[in-house]
Amino acid sequence: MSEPCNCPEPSSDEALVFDEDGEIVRPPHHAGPVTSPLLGPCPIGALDGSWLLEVVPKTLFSPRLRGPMRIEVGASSLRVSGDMYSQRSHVLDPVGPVIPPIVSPALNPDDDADTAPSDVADDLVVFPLPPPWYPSFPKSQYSWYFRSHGATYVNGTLTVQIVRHLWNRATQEFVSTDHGTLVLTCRRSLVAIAIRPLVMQGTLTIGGTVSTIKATKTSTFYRGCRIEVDAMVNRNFPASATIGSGAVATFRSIYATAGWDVTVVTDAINIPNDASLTNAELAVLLSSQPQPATGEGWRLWLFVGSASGTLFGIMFDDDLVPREGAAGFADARLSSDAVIAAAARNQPLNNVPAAFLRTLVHEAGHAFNLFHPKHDVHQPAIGIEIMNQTGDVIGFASTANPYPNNAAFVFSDHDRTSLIHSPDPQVRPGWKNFGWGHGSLSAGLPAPVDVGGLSATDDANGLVLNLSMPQQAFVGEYVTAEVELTNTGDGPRHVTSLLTLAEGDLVFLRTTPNGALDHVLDVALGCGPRPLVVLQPGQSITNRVQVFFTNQGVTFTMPGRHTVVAQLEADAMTTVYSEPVTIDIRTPGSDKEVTISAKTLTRGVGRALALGDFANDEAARAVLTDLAESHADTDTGAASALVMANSLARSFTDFRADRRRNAAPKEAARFLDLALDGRSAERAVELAVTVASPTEKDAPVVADTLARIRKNRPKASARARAKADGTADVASAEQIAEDFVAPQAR
Amino acid sequence: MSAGLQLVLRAAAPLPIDECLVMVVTLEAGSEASTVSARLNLIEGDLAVAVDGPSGQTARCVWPWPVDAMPRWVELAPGQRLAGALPLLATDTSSPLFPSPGEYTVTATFDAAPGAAVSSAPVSVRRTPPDAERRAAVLRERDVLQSLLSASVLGAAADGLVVLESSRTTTTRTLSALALDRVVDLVASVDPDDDRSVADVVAAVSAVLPGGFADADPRRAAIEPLVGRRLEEQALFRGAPF
Repeated sequence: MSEPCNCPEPSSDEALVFDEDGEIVRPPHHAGPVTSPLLGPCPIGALDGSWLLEVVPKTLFSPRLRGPMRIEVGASSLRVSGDMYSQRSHVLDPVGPVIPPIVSPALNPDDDADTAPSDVADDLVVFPLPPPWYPSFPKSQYSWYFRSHGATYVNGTLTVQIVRHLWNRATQEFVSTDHGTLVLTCRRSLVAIAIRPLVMQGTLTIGGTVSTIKATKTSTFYRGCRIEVDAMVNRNFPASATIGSGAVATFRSIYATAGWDVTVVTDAINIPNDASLTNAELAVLLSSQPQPATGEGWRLWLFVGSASGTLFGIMFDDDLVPREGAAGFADARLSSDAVIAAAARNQPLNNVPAAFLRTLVHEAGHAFNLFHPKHDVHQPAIGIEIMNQTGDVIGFASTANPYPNNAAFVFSDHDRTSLIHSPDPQVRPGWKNFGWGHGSLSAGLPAPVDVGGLSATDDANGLVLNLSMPQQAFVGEYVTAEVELTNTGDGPRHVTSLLTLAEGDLVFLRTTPNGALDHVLDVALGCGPRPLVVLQPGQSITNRVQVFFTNQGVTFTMPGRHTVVAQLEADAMTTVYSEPVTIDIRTPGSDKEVTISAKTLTRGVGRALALGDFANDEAARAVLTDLAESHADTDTGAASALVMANSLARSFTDFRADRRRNAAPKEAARFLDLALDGRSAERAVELAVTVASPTEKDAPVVADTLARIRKNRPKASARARAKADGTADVASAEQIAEDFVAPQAR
Repeated sequence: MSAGLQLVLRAAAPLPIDECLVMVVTLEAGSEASTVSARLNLIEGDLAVAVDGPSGQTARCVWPWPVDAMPRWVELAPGQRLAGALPLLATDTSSPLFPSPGEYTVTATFDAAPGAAVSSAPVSVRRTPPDAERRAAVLRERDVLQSLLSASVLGAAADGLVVLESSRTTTTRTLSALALDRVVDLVASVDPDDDRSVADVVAAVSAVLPGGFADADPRRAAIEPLVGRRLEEQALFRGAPF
């Protein structure tokens, strides 16, 4: 869908060479005819469009690796990008052919007056069955993104140097990059064969492996999306509009200038009237639209509403599943300024189709993660193209060339490139939030990995892992987390009961504020059999862990937003990930926090908090004592008190120095009282089970804390106790202690 | 067009992080008359704020939802001012703008006219530890932040907004009342002779339903009788120069 390449086609031994920006660097001296009368190299223009790229499996049960590839052949440029999705193959489900998605924008050609591009036939790639389609796969299978970093095209062979950005499914971020080479050969019969799409064969060299690949052309556009329009009564979606040049523009034709195949479908046009709309009302309309999402085809909801202040339009959807809807406001009025076209002055947008169409295309652009140029970190020029605010376009209008005649109904080069080549998570509605991807894609350099990407593991079906952590903490504060595994399937599941960071089944994947990824584990690692527990449908197991001091040292020392995902090997075949949670780490904000932070940020204190014992570290003992006595009202002080209680409840022998520390039960009890004072039974036991080392199921602090709580419980009849405040709290505490020893299905 | 224009952020008193901060910003004409954008608010996209935090990080505060809108212009005579109110609650990605207590520096930039951006001098803001941790936690919730900014209830924010209704400051109570559409109760609770409270209500309303932009919003009509006698408050509420 670019301008046809106006450079001559290469002869069999001449190369077209494109640099890292995709621009041609060495055009051929002359063009020569293809020598074979029946089979020859494809003209470079035939490469332009959307392709399904597949890695040919090496074995019957190799992971399926496939995804969309976009080749943009410009007048003097060639750019390639793609998004790869991997899926594990199972014994009963060997690798099969890729089935085109059912939902395709072009499946409903009657919905819009525009027709498919005429150059389809020119390419001799005629495949009315299936129609043009855009490979799209489940987000959970996303594996990596690539873009070209230089390319050559000679004698029908396209060689592309690619930069690969590896995707971490757990954190939903790109984490590293590496480089590879894509080689595809395109030869075709000079006699057009209807139905069969153009196919290229070749190799992909990356991560030290060479794979056989196949690319099948799916469209002469690059991407496609179905736009579902709802309208409020008496407000009209502008199906077409005459623009300044005198041409007729449609939603579809404007997106076609950016290589997008957009199909507009009008659903409801009788949404009840409401003179003024809030974001919440728009969100409810979006969530209640009658057309359910089906398949993996891209779709966007566009609403033609009344008014929201003086806005022309808004991309209002920025929730957990963002960018699925946008709105334009038909009642908003243009001004009576002299730079507004006479017929449009003081008119509602509903009466000015060109202006309203521009706004609706603009808002949809936001849903595809495009920014206003004046707010874009890449600082493109402010001008008259689609993604400029109407106010900015009017700034370029004059009485001789008034708005909307002066507007350009095209996307700027910057936005066009983003629409064609930015990664799927950035562009596809419903994936990453608005604004994501406008900085650098990732940080750090990767270790080479194989062509399957970082992970070939599928999301677990029927199991849900939930991770809970505080939303914020200060540097040096004691931090705990709760992990819960739930069977959401229909049948019983045998799963590990080792919900600790010390025994290998559970690991936290943490992304630091600067983008580095690390694996967070306990400082003490145990090895042993994997005890299983049966989870009936709807049942869960739960455990609590400390994440203050881990294999990373003090885990959260860097201020800023950390993202944490729990990864659990639930059984031998199933890995399950939690949704990412964020924890904002801040600098200490009060004198008290500064004092605590200064005491906890030492290795000795950290180890004591992680192991539940200060061992022979007398310096750590002194600090923990001070924290317990001075700050027991905080979780950090209470955790310190519990470490002291645990340590002093038992003896300790330093065999190397031949020294023994005897148990001091009275001192231990005093520290236990400090930890319990003013704290709920549930929280006290939560802290106790987290300071106890996960590998020491008999750590005295857990049993002692529970015993003290039971002892403190008011004496009364069982019936009265059941009504007494705190009884439920004690019961909850007992469950937590029980789960520490062996998580129970509940 | 922008000769001599000055953007001034009014200093704010220290405020716990469990309360909402709204700052007033004024655009002041110099010795010449100027035609400037009247969109001195976060919503319409001409105004942006940078906040430097105690940990050395800079956050950007703009309206979280991209919008399209008409330009609005106003003529400022020499010495005249235009006032706007800034809801300093969330970053452009709807995270808390002031995540922890400490000293912050706030700088505003306004596109007064095409190619004529004007920036304020940096202003220090001290955020102190919360009076109520529950309220502080509520103000870290994305749905709550977006609800306060949009003056409507988004997602699961309703319970959190109710918590904010009992806040110590008029500003926080006003923003939550706007989101929950309980403006009548709010007006009844404000002493019209208490200049400070009235000024806070006007600033909070102007921050999320600014004059000239949301004039037709019925909640503004409910607030209007409360608008004080002071010229600046009237001008702020109406988005008109003074």
